[in-house]
Amino acid sequence: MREVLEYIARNLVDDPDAVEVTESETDGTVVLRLSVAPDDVGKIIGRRGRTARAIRDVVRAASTRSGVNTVVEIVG
Amino acid sequence: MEEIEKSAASVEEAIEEALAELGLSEQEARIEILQEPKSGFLGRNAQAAVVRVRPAAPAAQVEGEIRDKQGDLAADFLEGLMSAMGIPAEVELNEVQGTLYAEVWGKESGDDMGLLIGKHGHTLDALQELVRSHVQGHTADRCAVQVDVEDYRKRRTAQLVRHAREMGRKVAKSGRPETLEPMSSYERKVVHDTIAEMGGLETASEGEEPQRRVVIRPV
Repeated sequence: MREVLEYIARNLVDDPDAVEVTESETDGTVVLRLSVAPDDVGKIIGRRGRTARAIRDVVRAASTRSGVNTVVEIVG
Repeated sequence: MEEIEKSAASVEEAIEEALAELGLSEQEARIEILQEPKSGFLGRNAQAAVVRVRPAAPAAQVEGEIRDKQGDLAADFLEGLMSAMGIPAEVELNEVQGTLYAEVWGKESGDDMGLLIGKHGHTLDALQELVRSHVQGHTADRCAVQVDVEDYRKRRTAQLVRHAREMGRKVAKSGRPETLEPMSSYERKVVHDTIAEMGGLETASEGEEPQRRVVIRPV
């Protein structure tokens, strides 16, 4: 799932090299923490959180396919 | 260029009112939030939300060359996404009735592309938002490319137009308003446009996302 989130984030920001995703697991849920350059946070979140919601929806769809539960956290 | 300012209790409502007045969808508008609402103390010093809305360059005005570039950006992005997701799919660019579609097609007939559509097209709407953001990050213009998964969007739009006409005729006959089921902003726009073409009827959106619904009323 990490690759999916990395791919999406790198394609939405101005500074793809600053995109970092760390992965951890708690109680069978995969937690992905996304961090981007400070100037790119707004692009990842979007107006009224619309882009962040879309990222979560697509990562969730990818997770369903692999039969895992995934949570995306965005750290500014 | 025509622009209007609207105030309402919430930013969401102010935007929706302004869009309805201009007859635009959110994607077709440039929206500025001039003032966030404040509840004030005991109703004193309360401030309404104020927004300014004007039309963005309409799809037809996104010039051919720019639109082709947007199409390529969308197709490349979606192809990379499919391979990151491990979904064997191809992306085709197709122009249908003046709209450029980036269409995702499964390579094998047994593949479940329903996953990319999601309940009520939710995942497809998410793909559309990601493509919009990617494309607008690379071109200054509004994204004129529609994402589709195996023609779902086109079929659903055609269905929606038929359904809206049917409900419109019902309202015209009975003189009583009808409330439709909850829809995405794209789908509400299809209904608003269809009813506007029929004449003698008006539409408004009511409720909060994702339960926002169109109401059709006689004028």
